[in-house]
Amino acid sequence: MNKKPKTLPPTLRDKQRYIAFQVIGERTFKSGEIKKAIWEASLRVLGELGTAKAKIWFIRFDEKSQTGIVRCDRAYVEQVRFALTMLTQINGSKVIMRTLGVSGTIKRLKMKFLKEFDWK
Amino acid sequence: MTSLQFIEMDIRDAKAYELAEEWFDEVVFTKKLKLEKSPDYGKLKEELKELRERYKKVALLLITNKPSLIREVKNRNLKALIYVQGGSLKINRFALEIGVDALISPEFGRRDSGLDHVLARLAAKNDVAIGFSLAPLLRANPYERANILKFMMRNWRLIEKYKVPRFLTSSAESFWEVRAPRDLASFGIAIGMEIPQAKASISFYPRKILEKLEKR
Repeated sequence: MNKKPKTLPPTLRDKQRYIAFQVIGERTFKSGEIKKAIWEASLRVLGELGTAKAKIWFIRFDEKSQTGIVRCDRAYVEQVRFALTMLTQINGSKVIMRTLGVSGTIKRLKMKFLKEFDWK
Repeated sequence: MTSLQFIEMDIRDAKAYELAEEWFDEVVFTKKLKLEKSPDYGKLKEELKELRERYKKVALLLITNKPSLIREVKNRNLKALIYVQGGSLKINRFALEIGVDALISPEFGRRDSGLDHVLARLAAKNDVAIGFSLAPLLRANPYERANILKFMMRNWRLIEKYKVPRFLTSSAESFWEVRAPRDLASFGIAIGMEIPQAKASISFYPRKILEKLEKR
């Protein structure tokens, strides 16, 4: 019994990019707060339609180094980056979101941009 | 990383400067100067000298509604970049006519873009840069944000058409308003620039303005 649809052939798959970001804040943040903040920022700046097109997806946030990964469509990388740039506060604490870099795979992203933050 | 040198043209706070210095290759410190009447030039020169020792590159942001004061300050040879805060149409026009170094956000506090084809042409002729600053956007509510972005998009169209010098800056007045170079570029892209144009707006055009300062 197969409950999932079959994985699409490569040409039909969504073309995705992964963005590594660092959070500089007044205090440290929990993963859940960051996830909510990114979604809200995206919905506010890009709108519902824009967020749908950007196919934004929160991957992971490392609470120790305050860095994380978010996935989006490759044509909307700049829009998502702008949405993160426009973020000024999370739950009343001031914050700066700094994008570290963009890559096509999580593996390369960790190698290139997240090594210095002790990611495995 | 790329070999491009990123330059932040307008940082107005000491703590913000420290952070920006980490992220950018060069940072210009801006002193805000609200003018009602002629300032005490001896004191101002002294202050600028101190700032120059601490920050190397210093700019003076004039906030005034008297055109004659802009001329006065510009002719004083203060060894600092002269910026003018845009807003009033009279000031925008005069700043472009007299040829200051940069006009920061001509749409500031306005209900229109503050720039038309005549002024854009004038800016290109007199080599006055137009600065797009991010900080007013960060402070605004969604309604104001949408409007400011709209005006910035319109200004960008004019600036591109008439080849006016331009730069992107955070205009940070506190630590929390500083943004990384690539994030500033994404702001440029959001108002309609191509990626190379956005990158040039934080490296090539600021460099040209700094060269003007070195010659002084």
